[in-house]
Amino acid sequence: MIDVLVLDDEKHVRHLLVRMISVGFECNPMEAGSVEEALKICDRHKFDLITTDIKFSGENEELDGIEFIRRLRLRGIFTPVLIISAFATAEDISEVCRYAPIDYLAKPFTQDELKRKIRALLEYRKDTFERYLREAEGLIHSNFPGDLEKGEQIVRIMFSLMPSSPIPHYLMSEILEKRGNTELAEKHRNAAKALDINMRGYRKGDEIETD
Amino acid sequence: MKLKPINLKFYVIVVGCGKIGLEVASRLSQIGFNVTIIDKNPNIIELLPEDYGGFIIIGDATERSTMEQAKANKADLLIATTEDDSTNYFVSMVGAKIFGIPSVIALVNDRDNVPLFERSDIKVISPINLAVETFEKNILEGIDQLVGDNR
Repeated sequence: MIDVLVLDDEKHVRHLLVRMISVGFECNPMEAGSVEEALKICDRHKFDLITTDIKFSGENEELDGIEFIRRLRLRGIFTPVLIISAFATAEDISEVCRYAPIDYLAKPFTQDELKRKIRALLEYRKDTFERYLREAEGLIHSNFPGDLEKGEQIVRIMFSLMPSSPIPHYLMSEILEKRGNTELAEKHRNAAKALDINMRGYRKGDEIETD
Repeated sequence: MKLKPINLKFYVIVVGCGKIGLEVASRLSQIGFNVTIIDKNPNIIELLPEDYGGFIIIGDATERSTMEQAKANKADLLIATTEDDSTNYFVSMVGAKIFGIPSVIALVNDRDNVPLFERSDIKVISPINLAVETFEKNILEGIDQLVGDNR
């Protein structure tokens, strides 16, 4: 089960995407018809994947799919984004490459193409998450000045990459514990335990569960 | 009618979005086909029903680049429904022979053209033939009653 946001100003494409993703991944994607609407939704909800068009018809031409992704990342949301567009240029693609994790699929597409792209993005997210986990662990357990802050930044990215994972909560509770904020550390530990159904923890060598 | 869950696995290209094309595309989308409509007229978007879920390409399907844009090589079925038989024939042949679409159905407006399409292995929908056959079937079904009444 994954949480998905579908952003496209063309209603018929949105309908198809919602149906395809629902069938392929057993979920109920949320929909947005404009960048403004999508940004508002992203402020309230966390997603495992977002799909977006590039070109939007509307008064504000500058508020396109690329600007949407840029604003997402500025808000500290590092959810994987799948660009679905018929008109993306090479410049568009190179522009968004810096906002990884990101991928592109040309309209129209078959269900198999869409499934493959989504699976690859979710897999990439898992790999990135594991890399961040190793990095964050190193920084948290190092006593070098400033490393704890760097660790916290990484943990915040981990939160947005896998919103339903207990691991960032475990890490955050360790960071807060080290800083002496035991009360907030306890809250994160409890949140982690609530999400960690099998009580696996997060130590090295543990298999990370995907959503 | 309860339809089998097709689950959008089948990719269908509908060329021409007149009255018939529009209805066919809408129904296929409702049933669960992955549908792309190709039409020259940009206004067709307004004619589509609210719940249509699929793609629309505004362009000329007789141009190879339009068919490439529609990813015709990945289509399971091509339906040509324009008002012009030459266009339907050309698009059907290009779809089958160049893009290798396994199944092609064409609307044949002039019944004299039906043999040409059939010789080329294109499945044919001829409105005149369909109408005549339906009339015949209806008349034959009621013939017993008609003969009985006249006795």
